[in-house]
Amino acid sequence: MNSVMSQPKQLVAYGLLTLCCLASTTADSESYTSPETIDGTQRVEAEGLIQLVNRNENQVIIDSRISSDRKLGFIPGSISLPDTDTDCESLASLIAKKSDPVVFYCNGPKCRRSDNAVVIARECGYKNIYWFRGGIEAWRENNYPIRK
Amino acid sequence: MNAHRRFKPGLSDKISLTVIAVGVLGLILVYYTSIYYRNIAYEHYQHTLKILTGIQIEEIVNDLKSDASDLVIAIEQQPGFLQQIAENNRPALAKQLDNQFYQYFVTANILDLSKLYIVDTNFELIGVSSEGLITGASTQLICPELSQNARLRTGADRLQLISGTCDHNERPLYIHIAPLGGLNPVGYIQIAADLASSLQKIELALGMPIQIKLQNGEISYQSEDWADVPGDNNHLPVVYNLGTYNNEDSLKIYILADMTQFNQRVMSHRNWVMALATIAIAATVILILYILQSSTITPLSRIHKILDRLSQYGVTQEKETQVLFAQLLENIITLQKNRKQRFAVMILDLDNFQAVNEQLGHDAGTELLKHIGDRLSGILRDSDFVSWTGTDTPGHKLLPADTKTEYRATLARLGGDEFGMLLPTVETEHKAVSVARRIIDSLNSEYTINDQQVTLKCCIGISIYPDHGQEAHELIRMADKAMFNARQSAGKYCIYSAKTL
Repeated sequence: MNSVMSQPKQLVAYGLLTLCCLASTTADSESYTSPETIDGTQRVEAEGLIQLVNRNENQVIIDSRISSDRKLGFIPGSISLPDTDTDCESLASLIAKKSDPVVFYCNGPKCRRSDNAVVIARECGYKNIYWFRGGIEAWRENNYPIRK
Repeated sequence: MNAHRRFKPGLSDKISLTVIAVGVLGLILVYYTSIYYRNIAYEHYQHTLKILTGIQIEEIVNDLKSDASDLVIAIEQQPGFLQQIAENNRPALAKQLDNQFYQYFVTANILDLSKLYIVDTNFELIGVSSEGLITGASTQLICPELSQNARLRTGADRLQLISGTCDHNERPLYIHIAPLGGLNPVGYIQIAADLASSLQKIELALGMPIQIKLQNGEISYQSEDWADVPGDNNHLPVVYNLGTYNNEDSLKIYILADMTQFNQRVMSHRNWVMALATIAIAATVILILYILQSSTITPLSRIHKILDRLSQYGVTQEKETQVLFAQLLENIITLQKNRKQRFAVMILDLDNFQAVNEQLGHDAGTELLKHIGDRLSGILRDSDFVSWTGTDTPGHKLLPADTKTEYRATLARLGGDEFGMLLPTVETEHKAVSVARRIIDSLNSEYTINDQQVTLKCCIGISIYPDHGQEAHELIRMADKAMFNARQSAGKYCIYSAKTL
């Protein structure tokens, strides 16, 4: 991204575009929203996560949030691994095999930590990656149990 | 003459009374409108307070839900707890549950626990606290309908938290059913907490005294200052009916809203409006009186006075009645001038009245006058000048009530055998002539005085305002002339005109 910004022509074009749409885009550009899907991963909802746990004995749930967020409540059975600490090595210590099912979650669609984590997991070669985009927000909405 | 004269409202009195009556009606309307709108405001306020109370209750239940969720986590983390469920260790579970009644959530007054239950995944009871409510058969869950609903769920739904309110022994409870042991639950916990005690928070939230009454009439909670609040109009009672899962009328929350300030504002506004209305009424009355005074009141009141005096003077005060008759005529002219209406003046002469008076004596003369008066009554009515200006009201004081005649008149004795008559409703010569004829016919027939037959010969002179004169003395003079003319020509009546004279 930095290389793109450093090219003067594109920078000018980008600036003009921003100027044109300043009024309508300033607010939006501030907040981040996760993409609907991420290549190489399967998106699941809250109910789907429970079904995964019921189906797979070796299902791993990874909480990609920072520890202070986790203290406010987490999905029972999930393991804490913030996205900043996520790499092939830390993932390997939590997931036995590359084919084991693993689901990542964060606070919700506005939180990008699980997005980052699934991309890292994909790059590390994990085959069964699930992404719970709704995160703790959707989990709470469904009245599912929370652990603290 | 008549000491007990009844109050007869004049035109100004009538108009003033009407304005005052309308004004008073308006004031009454303002008063009741203010009460009506206050009641509407009260209704809205009651409705709003009910909604507010409902929101508060929802918040309290949400707090209970959050606190109960925390309690579930705390219980789950008790050492060996999940193991005891798996082993179906009932005594150990009961002990674990009982412990909670002496720990944080109860001792810090976060939850008023009524009972704790543990069930297995088939919702069979495996643990119950001996603390809390005495429920009798300890194998039965409290509020079984809710756990029945929980049991019937399948799949991921079984992990969902169920919460609600239900009535147990006429006491509302908050019920919380949550899975234990993570995403593959080993059992469930059912928490029952007292709802009524949690509802006390409404008092603080609304800042108003409340009373919570259970269905059986038991007062579950009452604000300290509840009894101090006076049961007056300034305190609006609001009743919120709380229903639970199995009882629509679980408890009633009474709230006393202080409306003192509101009432003060309404009343001060109303008083201002009423004061302004009163001023407006008074101003209207004064204005009307002023207008009437400057147009019709003055001549009318003078006429009244003259008529009064005329009726008081006897037959001997001829000079005085002449003056009064002239004054009366003047005032009637003033009135009729405004209305542009014509009227007749008549002078009646009784030719041989003085002769009868001298031959038969004064008493006979007086009696004859009475007869004449009676006969005239058959034709003329005494006129009421006040009513005459507006609608025709009855109340002609000198003549009998059954007198049926269309002509009203004022009769005044101007001399020994001369009478003046004002006929305000006679507007044409033709009419005047016909009235004069009737009078002459009536008076010319025989009288019986002291067993003697008496006949009078009379003639009438007529003048019409404004045709024969614009001034009182002119009209009287013309009528006099006409009368003289009639007598001279041996006619019975004569209308003054240039032709006849």
